[in-house]
This record gives sequence, C-alpha cells and structure tokens, in this order.
Amino acid sequence: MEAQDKVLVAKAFSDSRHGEAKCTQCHGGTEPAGTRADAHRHMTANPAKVPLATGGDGKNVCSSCHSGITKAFAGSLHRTTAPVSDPRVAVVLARARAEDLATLKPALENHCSACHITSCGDCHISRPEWSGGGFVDGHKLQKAPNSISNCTACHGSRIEKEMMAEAPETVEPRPKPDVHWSPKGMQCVACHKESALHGTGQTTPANRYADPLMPRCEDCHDVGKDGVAAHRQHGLDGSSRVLLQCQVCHAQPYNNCYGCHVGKDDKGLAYFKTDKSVFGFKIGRNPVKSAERPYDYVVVRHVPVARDTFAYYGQDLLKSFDAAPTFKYATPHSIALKTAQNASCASCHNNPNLFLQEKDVAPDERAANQDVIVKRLPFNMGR
Amino acid sequence: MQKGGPQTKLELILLFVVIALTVAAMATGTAGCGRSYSCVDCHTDRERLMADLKADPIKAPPKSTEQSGEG
Repeated sequence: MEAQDKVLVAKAFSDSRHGEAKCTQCHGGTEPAGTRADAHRHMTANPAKVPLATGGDGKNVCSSCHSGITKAFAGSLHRTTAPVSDPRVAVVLARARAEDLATLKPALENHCSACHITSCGDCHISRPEWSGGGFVDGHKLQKAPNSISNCTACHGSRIEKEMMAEAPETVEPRPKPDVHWSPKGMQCVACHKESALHGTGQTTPANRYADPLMPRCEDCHDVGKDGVAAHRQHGLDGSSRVLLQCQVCHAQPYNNCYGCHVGKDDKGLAYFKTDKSVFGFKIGRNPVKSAERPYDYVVVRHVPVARDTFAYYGQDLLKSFDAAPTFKYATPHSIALKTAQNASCASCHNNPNLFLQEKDVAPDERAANQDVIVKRLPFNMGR
Repeated sequence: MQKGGPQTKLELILLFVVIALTVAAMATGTAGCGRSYSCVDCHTDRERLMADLKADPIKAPPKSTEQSGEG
C-alpha cells in the first residue's frame, strides 16, 4: 500500500457521523497549521488504542460512546494474546520449568507479543498496525472487520492460505478454497461473532478453544439429525463409541510450521526464523478432550516450537519440552463437502497415511506426542 | 536609548506590532509560509500527500532483516 493511501481520508468519512468531529478532537495536534511538523506536533496518530485489562479500564477515544465494548475488549484474546505472550500463562511455558520463567519473560515480550490488536482502529478503521497499517476505506468506520484487509492481515500463514487455497504449487491434488469462503462468500464475521471478537469482559479464556463463544460447526449444521450415514457412523448423533471432529472428514490439507528460532540481530532488533512450512493432513488422537470437544480423533497441526526455540536467551530453557505435544488440535479453514479422505469408506479406512504415526514424528518429538500419535489404526488397516 | 536599538516612539510601536503579528502567526500556524492548512486540506488531497511524503518520507519502524519464514 502506498504511503499516501495509508492516510488519505475519503470525503465520505467527513460526511459520516464519526466525521462530524474535528480531527483534533480525537487526534490532538494543531489545526490550522502552516507545516506538517506544526500540524502533527502533540498529535496521537492512533487514539483508539485500548490499554490492557491489567490496571486499565479500556478507556480510549472510542469509550466515551462504546465503553462496554472497550472495557470487554481490554481483556479479550485479540488484545492480550495471553496464551501466546503472557509470561504468566503462555502455552509454551508448559514446556519450561519455574527456574527459567524469568529468563523466558523478555523472550516472550520481544518475539511473541508483536501481533496484539492494540486498537479499535486496527479492525474498524485501518489495517492492523502489525501488518503495516493504513486506512481500509479512507478512514470510514467499518462496523465489521474486512476479512482480507483486517483478519488475514494477521492470520495469513494458516487461515488465509487455507481458506483461499493458496497452498504451494507442489501440493497435489490442488486444494479448493474453503467452501464457506468460496463459493459461499461468507466473511470471517459470519462465524466469528462480535461477542467472541470483542470478548465478554468476564474472564480471559485460557486459549481460543476454551472460549465458549468460539464458533462450532454445529452452530449451523445439525449433524446429529441430518440423516447422513457417515455422520451417524462416526458418532455425531451420539450412537457410536468413536467420535470424529468434523474436520477429520471435511478438511483439506493445511499448513504446518516447524523449527521457530528467535533472536536479536546486531542492531538489537528482534526476529524469528522458521525452518519450514509444509501443507499436510494428519489425523491424531484428541489431546484436549473436553465436554465441549469430546472427539476421539481430530486433525492435528504441527506448531513451530522447537526444543531450542529460545536458545538465544539461554541453553535448554524448555527443559519440559515433552510435557506438551508439538502436533496440536487444529481447526483448519480448508473445509470442503467432498475431500480425498471422505470419498468412500476405503479412502480413509484403507489409508494409514492419513493418521499420525510414530514414523511421521521426528524422533526428538516422539515423547512429546505420545498422547496424539495413533497407535492402533481403525480396523487395523495396513497391518 | 542604546545604539542600534529602537530610536523613536514610532520604531517602538512598529517593533511591538511585528512581535504581536509573529506571535499571532505562530499561534494560528501560519508562521513561515504565510498560509495555514486544515487537516483535511492535506489528508483529502492525494497528489499533495504524495508530493509531501516524497519530499519528506516517513520512516517505517525498523524491522530485522534476519526475519524469515512464517510466524
């Protein structure tokens, strides 16, 4: 996006309700002014930033009218990214010991907190700051975030590539776009409701799958009563002992990342490097079984953590690396009615390669994935 | 009166007027070029923004060139 377009205000904004106020009312600065420097002195470019819940009440320029939302948002997963970056509860800390937490804290702050949504404007006015910013539509306020300009500006490596069928050319057969995206034309907010994106203000969920407001296929698809034989046979009407996550049959290959290593360059700038990304598809045992997600088999995605991810900060900081799997419960956005694995019973039940087995896991990670690896293939296929 | 300073009442009045005008100009943002702009004068004019940003680019936040791969 060209620099001038990032800050070009559309006339339609001035004509809108939010455009009734003087620019300086929200942004500060000086108006009128003779030079850019004079105009921008004491100006706040992004006055819609929301302070974190800890010690804050969500007050910003928007809260004078939308205080309920800004207060809830201050503790939302989009604002805190707590499961990724909070040095008290980040998921990766399950792999660390207490004595190393203080050493890991700056690593999390330097490398794992950059993609916070810090401002109401990141979804409702501009592209997220993390992806370079710039007005989505001439500073006009969008009621809902734009799937491309906002959502996939951050959720690009996995969601965008899967949803829009942007797998590398080497992936065969070629995946189709997620059916909800094309041809259905559904935007992200069709499933990810406002209340889930803004948060409730009650508590911050431990992770996105623990959030009761997260969308579920069953919200729209009544799989228990639709009469589809495969749904009945795989426990979705409650009649079978083995229960499958919907994606086991309806996801196409999805992105997996390996070998993330973080550090700082000679200018002191933080960076990360990942070794490789691979589109693949694996069915594993459900590592996070719960009343809400009772499935026995789920699709699993390799996450980029490695035993030496934080080696820049110290040796062996993930001493309990094997305490959590590297293949995680996944909900790929690559959904299709017909997939390679659901073409017939045999296309899954006679295809052991679909299942995560010992041979699919690097020797160094096998201990970590014992709860996920499928040791007894359904119907003893291929044995 | 010192040598080189205002010599007459008229000069003193003129000096006061100049100072007052300068302060007023600074307060209203017209100092220097003699013209003042509102925010939308510039931010709704793509050509002007382009020329201005070309002459005085905004530096992007520094990012490490070491970064690679997907996050």
